[in-house]
Amino acid sequence: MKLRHQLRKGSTETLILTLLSEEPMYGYRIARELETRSEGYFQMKEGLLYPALHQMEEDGLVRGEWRSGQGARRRKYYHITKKGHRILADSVAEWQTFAAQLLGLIGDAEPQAGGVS
Amino acid sequence: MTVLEHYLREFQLALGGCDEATRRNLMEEIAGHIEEHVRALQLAGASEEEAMDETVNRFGAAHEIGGQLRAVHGRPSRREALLAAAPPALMALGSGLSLLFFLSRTGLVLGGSTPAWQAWKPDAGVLGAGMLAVLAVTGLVLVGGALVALLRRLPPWAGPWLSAVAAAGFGALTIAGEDAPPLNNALLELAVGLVVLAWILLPLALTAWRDVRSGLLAGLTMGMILAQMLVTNARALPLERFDVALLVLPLGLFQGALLYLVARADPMRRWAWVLLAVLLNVGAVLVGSAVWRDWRVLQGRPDTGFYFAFLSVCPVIAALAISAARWGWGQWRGRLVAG
Repeated sequence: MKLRHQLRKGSTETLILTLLSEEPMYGYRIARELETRSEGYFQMKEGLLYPALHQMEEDGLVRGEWRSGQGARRRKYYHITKKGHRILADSVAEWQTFAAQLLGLIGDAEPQAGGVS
Repeated sequence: MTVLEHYLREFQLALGGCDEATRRNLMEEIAGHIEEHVRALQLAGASEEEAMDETVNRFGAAHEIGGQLRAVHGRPSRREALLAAAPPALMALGSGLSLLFFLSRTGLVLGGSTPAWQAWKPDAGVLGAGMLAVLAVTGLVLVGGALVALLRRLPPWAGPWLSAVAAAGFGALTIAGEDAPPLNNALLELAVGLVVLAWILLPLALTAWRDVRSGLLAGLTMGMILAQMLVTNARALPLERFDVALLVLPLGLFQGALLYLVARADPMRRWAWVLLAVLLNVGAVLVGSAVWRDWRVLQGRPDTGFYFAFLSVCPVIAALAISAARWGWGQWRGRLVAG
């Protein structure tokens, strides 16, 4: 679980940018998409999405825009920026290299007795 | 109060370091997320209470998420950092301009009993008024900035303005108090002491309770103003060189630059800039005090250099202590809510 937590933490920005590269989304929708598409693997404390989103907004990777939603409550939609697209392309390439190298090393290895954490 | 209301209240408290508009937007965004999840769970068959409990549990600890958001938004923008850096530079500019006015009128570098000074003595009143006018304008700008900071509910640049006013006010009070008759009343002395202490501590308490960065900016500024006062005093006996006090100009610029870096740096680098700013303050205080140390010792008075150097560090220590108390308070409240 500790390894999964660390991997998830390191990949949150890439995951969010991947979703936003398809269409602008608001926080709740991003949480649901992450949960559904990963079949629960990337489920995390949902509130932690917001510090990540706001940090990305500060760094210029996404841009927030308030829109009136259903009912009285407004929703903040996040759009990916040009810089965000660039960072996403770099990080996708990095993750793909990382995954290929890792699988090349451990691809056929059998889990030892006791399983993996 | 429902679980949800209690949770949102905790969240609002955790966003204490953010400005009002940011806090309002964050609360709207978070509340929208939570309400939508509660509705979705209720549609799936959960009772209202079950839906609230599940949503709050899945969202995570309010003080933890609020703290992370505060860390993102507590960082001042470039404009705010420049505003935070302005007070020590402004003070130095005021002192330096006032002295330049004096030097340009008198042509004096050496002061005291030199023949040139004797020749200018009759004009001392005019000179004093001119110098005071420059200082008064500086003071008014500082007080105005501090008032705006208070009216805007302590934005990230507020600390240095409040501290500059408190420290400069304390300095002016000390100078005025030198010629005042003794109080001769222990209780009155204690009351005056407490008022002065509250005056000094108030900017630190207001800012450091909100977040550690604001507190550090306020604490460092107090040390900076003290250092400037001692450097401008270095023109006094036994040196009697008025031009020495002009060192306050580069000192103020350095101090302003360091405050800007403290305001803008990420947490790891921030401590390096804080340390450098503290060392600059201590160094300036010791150099400023060294000029008249020999004269004081000759007169049988104690050397106050190290005392002032320690005093310049005290506001930073006080700000850190207040921020630590705030953190402890937040943890305790968080555990209470979780419990």
